[in-house]
Amino acid sequence: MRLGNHEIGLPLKRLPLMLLIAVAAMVVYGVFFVNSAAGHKGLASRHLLWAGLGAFAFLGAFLVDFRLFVRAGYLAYAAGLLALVAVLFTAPVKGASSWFDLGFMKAQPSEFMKLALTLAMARFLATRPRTLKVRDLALALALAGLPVLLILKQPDMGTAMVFMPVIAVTVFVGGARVWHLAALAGSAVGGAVVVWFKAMHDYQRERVYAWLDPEPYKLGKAYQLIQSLIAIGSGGLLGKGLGAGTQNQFDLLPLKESDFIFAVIAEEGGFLAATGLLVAVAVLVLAGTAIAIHAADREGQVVAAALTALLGGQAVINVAVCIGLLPTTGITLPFVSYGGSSMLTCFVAAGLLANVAARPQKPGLFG
Amino acid sequence: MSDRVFSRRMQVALAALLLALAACVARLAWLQIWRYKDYHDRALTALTSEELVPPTRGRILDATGEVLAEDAPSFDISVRVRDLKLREVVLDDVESYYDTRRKAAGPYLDAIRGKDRAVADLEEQNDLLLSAGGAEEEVLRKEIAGRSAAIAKLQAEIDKLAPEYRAAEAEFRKQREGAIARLAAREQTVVELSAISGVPREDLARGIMGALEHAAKRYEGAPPPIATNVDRRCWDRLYIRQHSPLMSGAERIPGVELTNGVTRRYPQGTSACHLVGYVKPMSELLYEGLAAGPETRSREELDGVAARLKFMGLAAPEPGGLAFLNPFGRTGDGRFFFKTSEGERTWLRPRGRRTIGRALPDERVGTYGVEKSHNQELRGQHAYRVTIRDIEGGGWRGGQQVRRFGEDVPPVPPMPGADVRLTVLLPVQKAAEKALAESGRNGAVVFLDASTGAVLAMASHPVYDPNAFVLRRNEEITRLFSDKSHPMLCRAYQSAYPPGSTFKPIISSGALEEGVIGPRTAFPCTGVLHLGRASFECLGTHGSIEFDMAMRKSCNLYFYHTGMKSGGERMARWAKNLGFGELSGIDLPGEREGLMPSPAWKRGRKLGSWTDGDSCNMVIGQGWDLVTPLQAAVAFAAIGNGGRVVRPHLVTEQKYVRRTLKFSPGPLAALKKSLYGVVNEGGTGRLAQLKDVVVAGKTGSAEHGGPGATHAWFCGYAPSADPTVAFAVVLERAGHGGSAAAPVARKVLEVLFNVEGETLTPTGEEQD
Repeated sequence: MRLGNHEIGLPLKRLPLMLLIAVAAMVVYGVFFVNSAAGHKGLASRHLLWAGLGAFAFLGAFLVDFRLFVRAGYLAYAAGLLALVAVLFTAPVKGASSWFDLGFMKAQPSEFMKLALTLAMARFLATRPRTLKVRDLALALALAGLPVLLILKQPDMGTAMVFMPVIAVTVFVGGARVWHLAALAGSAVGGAVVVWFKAMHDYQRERVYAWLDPEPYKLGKAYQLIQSLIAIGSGGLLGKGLGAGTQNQFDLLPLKESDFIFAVIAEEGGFLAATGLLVAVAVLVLAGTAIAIHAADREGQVVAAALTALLGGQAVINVAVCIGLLPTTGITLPFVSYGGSSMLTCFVAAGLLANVAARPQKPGLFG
Repeated sequence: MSDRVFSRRMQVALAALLLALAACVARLAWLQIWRYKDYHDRALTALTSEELVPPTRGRILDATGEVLAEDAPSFDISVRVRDLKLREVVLDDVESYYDTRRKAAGPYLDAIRGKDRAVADLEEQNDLLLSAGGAEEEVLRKEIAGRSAAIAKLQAEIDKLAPEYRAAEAEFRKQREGAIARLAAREQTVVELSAISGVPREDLARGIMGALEHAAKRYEGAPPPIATNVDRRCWDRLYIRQHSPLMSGAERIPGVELTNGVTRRYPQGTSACHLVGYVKPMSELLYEGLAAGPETRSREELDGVAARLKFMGLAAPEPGGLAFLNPFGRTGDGRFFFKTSEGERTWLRPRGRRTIGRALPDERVGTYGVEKSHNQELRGQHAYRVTIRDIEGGGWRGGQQVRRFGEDVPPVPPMPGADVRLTVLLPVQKAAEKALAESGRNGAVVFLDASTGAVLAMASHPVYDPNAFVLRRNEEITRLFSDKSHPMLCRAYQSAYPPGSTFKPIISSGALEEGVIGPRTAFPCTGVLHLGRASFECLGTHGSIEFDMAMRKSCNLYFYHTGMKSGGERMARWAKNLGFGELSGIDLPGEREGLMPSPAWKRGRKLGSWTDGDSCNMVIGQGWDLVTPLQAAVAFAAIGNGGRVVRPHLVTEQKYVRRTLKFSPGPLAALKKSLYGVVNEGGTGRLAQLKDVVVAGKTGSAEHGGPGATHAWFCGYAPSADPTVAFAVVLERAGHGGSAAAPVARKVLEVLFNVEGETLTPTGEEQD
């Protein structure tokens, strides 16, 4: 089936196997460990339900030629911006206005924005020369910066942080000049200093202190981090066994089924299971990179690169938070954490990646 | 840009991400392999809860084995702080009100401590001055002047800071009370608990606040129970509700635990209350700010704490490890809040290292009476029960929690405290209390074994009920401490009175021994003695009077002459030899030493040189001399037993003789004969006569400068020939010793010797 230039259908032969294996592995991790962490709260079946819905979302994102999605990029972006503005007027939950309560689920417009921004960036970069001029670079950054500012306003540091690898990778592979990028990096450092002193909330700064030296904050700001480190460290090489993690089972670890699911994995599955998950992330990133490199057109390249950066980046940030390499922020581990809106976003992202892989490609590694 | 550049950049991005992943793996290896042991231990610590198993405290018994204090089971309500829903909110409260306090308390308390030190110095130098002379005296005087100035300066600073501190302290209490009131009003846990248990909401809220403060300060071990001595039936009802499998899980009150403890019981109530004393939990002592104050401590202050701990019967702190007995402070390294040790056992340790078998002793510490002075024998040793939560098996068990007791920690049973048997005879004690109460006056009665100093009875009026403290009858406690008649004071050894005429035999003992007077020495009594512009009076006009009759009639003039002939120096020496002006060393806390003036003392106080008038005042016990009833009893015991000055005691000890005075038989017999006469041959003490036992003693009516009648004294011993008991009775503002105090002594002696008293009617001769 075709729609104009675009193919609609199920090109099963061209499904990228490595990507699917990585995603499946992560989903399996999620099913087991979310059950272990929150099975008694009845969240395991809901998690399975979301994973099932995610599979449909994957198919939806896979079937329609991704170039149609890219075309709708600006529209999606505009809708996302609107939602991000609207969400600021909702009543704060735990101090942040990040969710729309839809009754059956809580929707986070910033999740949708991750996808919308990817598409809009692809659309924008596809119309520009392959080497970005200053003006184009500035426009691209403005395009990406606007939603990030709105998300920071909620405030939601974690999600804003997830945008960083996406933006960095897109402008980098999108053709920014090296010295432009160097200048950008320089000003980013400067900007960070300014933000630290001028724009950050006290509680956010406290989190950084608590991250740098957790012990004095162990009953307060660094409670999660310390408990997470204890869980992970006490897991050892082989772990305590599924369902036998004491930090997990005795509820010493807050948010263990969502943001800190990795700590549960490391505690109950040990170093081996935790490393296994990181290998799955690496395979996903490798597959995504291959898809980007072999994409036939610029839209495909940018979309695949951005989505790879999104999924890989978010996974790395989440893990780095759990093990104390980054300050504590609330983001989920893609495909693993409990949480509907995150699960759907990740599946759509994976679907789009597979979509790029399934459309006409240059011959190469995975052809 | 070509596709080649794109793919190269893509590879760079890939490399960056893979590098980040590799960093994560490295960090995981660090945490899970290199530091596995640490984290394993920490995870175990989190699962380990230590419960203190308190020992039973020893009983306090009277000489016949009658129970004065014992332990009884207590039904308590406790909380698991981490399961409390309100934890976060209240912890914020706790932080903020402690902040308020911390800010103002530091400098103020520093100033107070500085002044205390300066004053101690000054006193020391004043003492030195008494024995110094010449150039040395000059230097000392200068130093003393300097110290005085420094003290005045510190006092000014204290006065300046005081309002600030008081305001902060008031604000602290207000905020704390406010937080408690909020808890009591709104918190579902409190409301439900109160409804079922019958414990007032306020009390529960206070208890919960205490537990949360305990948590906020990160003390080791379980927080103290939020309610103790809960009514048994209410407790049972609560227990069923919390633990019965028949009740659905949702109906439980989260975080509430029903625990058993021990409580102190004083079955005799107010009887012997001042001797027995009472206990308080350590946690309460801490909260009362046993040493609330600033954050850092100097060496001397730590020594002070050590002394204080020792006084409470607790061991001295570890050198350098102590943060002060202060729940709000911490040491220089910012971690320790409170640390001291008891042999190998460290308690009130900050959390952190994994140590099994150590915890906060929510120990009951004696705060008064024998409970305090014999705390060390009574307390026993805590044991610890270690519980490790673990998961049985693993697999798909959905977080089932299983409790098991730690196998690596052998259960050590608590070592019970030893019983303490007092020398007190409860029937005599009760007779003394009854006689005192019937007299309608405040006062004290002391009965000692005349040869050993063992306390047979020691009563003080008014009394208090020690059960009020263990049952936390707060209103009653407040009243006890604010009452103008000071029921908490044991007048028998914590109050000093002018001795009045009971001092005459004391001086006589020395005057006769050293030959200042003889048994046949006579002085004329004209009713009044003029010395310069002052006149010294007698109750009667006795004419030419000899020693024996002078004692019997309590003739002041006779003793004025004796006093003037003896001189202040000698009189002070005699009195001090008999134990006046020094602590008797009784095993009870807070004894007062009274005051025994001397010419040197008078010079030291810059009151001029000793005059004949001073001698006259001193000899009839109306000068500067102040004595406790206990000291008087000891002195009369020494006269009765032939010169052994005993250390009065409640618990039998080997060394009960402080010193032995050499009395020659002749003069001593004369003195004893005169004291016999006071009671039995028409003297002022005739109302103390017994049918079969011969009592000897001396009356006294001491003016005290305050409003009301004179203090009535009666001191003596019985049987007169070879005394077994010595006694002292004082009734405040009761009039004459012969008419008011002697009958009280007689009533006790009747019970003590199991004889009847002579039924005599007062004749008016019982003056003085």
